[in-house]
Amino acid sequence: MKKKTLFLQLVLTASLLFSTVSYAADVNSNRDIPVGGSGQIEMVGTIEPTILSVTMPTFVPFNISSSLSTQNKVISPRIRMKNNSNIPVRVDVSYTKVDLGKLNNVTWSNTGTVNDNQIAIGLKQEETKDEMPTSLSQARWLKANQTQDMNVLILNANQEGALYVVGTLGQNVTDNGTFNVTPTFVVSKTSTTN
Amino acid sequence: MSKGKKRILTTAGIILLVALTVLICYLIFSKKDDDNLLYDDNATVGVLPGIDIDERRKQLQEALDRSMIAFSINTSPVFLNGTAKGNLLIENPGNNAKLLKVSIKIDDTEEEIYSSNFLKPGTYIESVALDKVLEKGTYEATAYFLAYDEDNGEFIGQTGAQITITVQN
Repeated sequence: MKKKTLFLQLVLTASLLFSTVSYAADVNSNRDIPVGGSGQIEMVGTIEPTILSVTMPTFVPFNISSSLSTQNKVISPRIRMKNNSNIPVRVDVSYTKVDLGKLNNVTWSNTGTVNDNQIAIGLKQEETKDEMPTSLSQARWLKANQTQDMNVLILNANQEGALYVVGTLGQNVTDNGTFNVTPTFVVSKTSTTN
Repeated sequence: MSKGKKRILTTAGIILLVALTVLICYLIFSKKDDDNLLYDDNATVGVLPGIDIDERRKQLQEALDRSMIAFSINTSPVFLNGTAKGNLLIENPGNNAKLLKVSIKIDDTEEEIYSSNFLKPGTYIESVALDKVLEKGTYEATAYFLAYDEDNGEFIGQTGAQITITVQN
């Protein structure tokens, strides 16, 4: 009887021992860290791509006329630009294609200062909503047929902004000619905020 | 009714008939003359410059609004190697109503390394291999979005986005 009891005690002890070991193994596989012990946790980080999302024009029509009484001689639409991203973006003019071929004896000014036979066209940030600029102060002037990288606008996340075309022309430039100015806007992410 | 009265009424009726005929002929011939009006070839449709600035500006605004596009792109696409696909994530949103083509050029060399076919509004390219095999490295590039009229395929204009391409191996 005593032998039988001893045998049962041994079996019980052995089973408890193995169950503890198996429990420990199971704990270890779940990667819990025992108190005072050491362990390794695999931390998987995923870098989400930064998506740049904007709404902007691909074509900017405008009229220029010496008959306007203001310093700015351009009739410009409101050039709306919307940053739909969650990051701030900057808008630059990277290049401006200029064709004055249909105008006789007219040249381009890169600086905004014109002589009698010159035209200068630039961009200006909106100061008052829906109002065309009357002056040429703070205008950024487009350089003809060369790379420029000229910043014209900074937009915070989900912000909308606007620009206007501005310009002037010399007194010998006739009003009835046409010419083409094609700026290429390039948008990029920036750390600078507006 | 006496014979005299009958004669007067008949005469009045004939006069009225003749007058109506003349009136109808006049209307027909004067309409024909309108069709032969000579319009001046030098005339331009629109408002005279400097006359109505608000009206002119409204026309310009309509033209600009028609050229507006929305687009999305990954600013930092990664390619496992020069021939592998990378996560460009280019989108032509459904509200664009324009076809888009994308051309990616390396800034330093102006070399075109990728050119897409037309993307319809409401479509996107998640990952794609570049047309040119790039060595391992980081490249500053510009993705140009060229907009075309959805109905006639006419080129409208273009805009660009600065991106940094990474080729890992």
